[in-house]
Amino acid sequence: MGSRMKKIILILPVIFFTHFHLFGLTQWMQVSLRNFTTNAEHDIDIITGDIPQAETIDTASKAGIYWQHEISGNLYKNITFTVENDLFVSDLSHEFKNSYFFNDARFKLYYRNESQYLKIQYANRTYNPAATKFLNIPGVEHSTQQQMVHNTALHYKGNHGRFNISLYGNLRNLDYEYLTIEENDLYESESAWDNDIYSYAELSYKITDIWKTFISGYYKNDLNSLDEFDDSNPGIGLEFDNRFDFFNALKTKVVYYNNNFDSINDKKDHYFLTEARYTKRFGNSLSGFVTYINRSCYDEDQSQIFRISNMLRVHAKYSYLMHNMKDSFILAGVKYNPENEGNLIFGEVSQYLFKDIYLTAGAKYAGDLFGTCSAKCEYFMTPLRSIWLNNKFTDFNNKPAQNIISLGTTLIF
Amino acid sequence: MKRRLVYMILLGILLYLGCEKLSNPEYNIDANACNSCGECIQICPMDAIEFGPDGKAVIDQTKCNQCGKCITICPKDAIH
Repeated sequence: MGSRMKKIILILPVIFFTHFHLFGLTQWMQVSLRNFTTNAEHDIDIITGDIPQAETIDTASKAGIYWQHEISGNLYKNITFTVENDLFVSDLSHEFKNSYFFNDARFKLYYRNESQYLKIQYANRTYNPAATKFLNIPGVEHSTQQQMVHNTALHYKGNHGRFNISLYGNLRNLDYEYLTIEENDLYESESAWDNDIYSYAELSYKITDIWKTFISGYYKNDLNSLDEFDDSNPGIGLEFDNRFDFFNALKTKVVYYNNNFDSINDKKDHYFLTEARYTKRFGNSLSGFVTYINRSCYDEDQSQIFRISNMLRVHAKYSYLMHNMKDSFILAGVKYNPENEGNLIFGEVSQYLFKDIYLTAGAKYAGDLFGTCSAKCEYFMTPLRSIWLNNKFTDFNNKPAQNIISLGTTLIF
Repeated sequence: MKRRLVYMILLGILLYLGCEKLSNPEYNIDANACNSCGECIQICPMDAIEFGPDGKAVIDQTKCNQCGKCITICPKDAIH
């Protein structure tokens, strides 16, 4: 690299940070300290398959930190950018995650005008190997430990009269290590890469203001030459989207996909997706929606339609006190999803107490999976700065209960 | 509008009652409910979830082993 290029690279960040105001920067930051406890008293097998070393989760409390930061601004008239960074660090055996030390960084560049939208994104996830578990990833023979993930994506949407086009591509690269057993049962660590390309294209035609039809194509290519994990599915669909008035809106979609993949049940070759979402407002205070999603497939061999899953979700929210910082509200909902044992009932209350202090409490119960309750007390120093204390307790049906206390702050500047 | 809603509900009931359940269903993410927090990506033991075009999490069905861990971790109950 030439010395001139090095100077430019060194000077650019200096110019950027000394000319913050020129970019119209907005920053959002949330930092929380977390304390985790569980009632597990013995080894826990979170991951399927081989684990090089079993670990024990004990009742002693563990500490962690979660830091999220987002900066957004304008580069030029139609060009904006966002930089996001999430850092999660905690003691080993902390929470039910596959890694206890990772950093997510994302850089997004947007171009928008009246009829076009372009997003270019690079995302990087870095793991600390000492705090990352081994996984059994499909298509990889050995247990693998993720080191780093790169996602380079491009998304374009264009409007040309009655036609709309959407194009998306993502090159995903996973850098991992795996263990092989050498002589004397010693483990040897090897490095490798796993590469996938995900792409999607959709062309839609607006028949009227509320009806549109579209064709689409999804293609996934596993670049590690494992054809069985390739996937392609062209689709065709019809969509109805109508906001009748301020109080009523209905959106429905029916899509047929022709699935071509080797690693998934052949019965799903002819795949039907039906979605409906009805939104209703009663005045300014009460609102709600009903969502229904059905997934079905047609098996040619048996000439029979099979039900894959149904999801019905009903949600209602009543806002009863408007305040400078945020509303006070009560919400309640039900999710019905029998095929995946995902039935759920939930409720939440957020109440303004006094002197810019809010209390939020929630509970949800999924009979087959878990029950959880949470409470959060938040003090707004200004409308853009708050500190909060949050406690969340979850009792799982098939694994130990956990409790997380978080002390955090949210800042916008 | 009400008539259309009734038709939709009737269609749903027919699909539910008239079709046999597939032996191994699949998990999907409701993009309307997903808040892009990434918790499911971190819990997935098969490395099967990533963010899609609209920034919402998407399950790669070729990798998913239907363990269901993402369902319990999702704060918005968006996975079904």
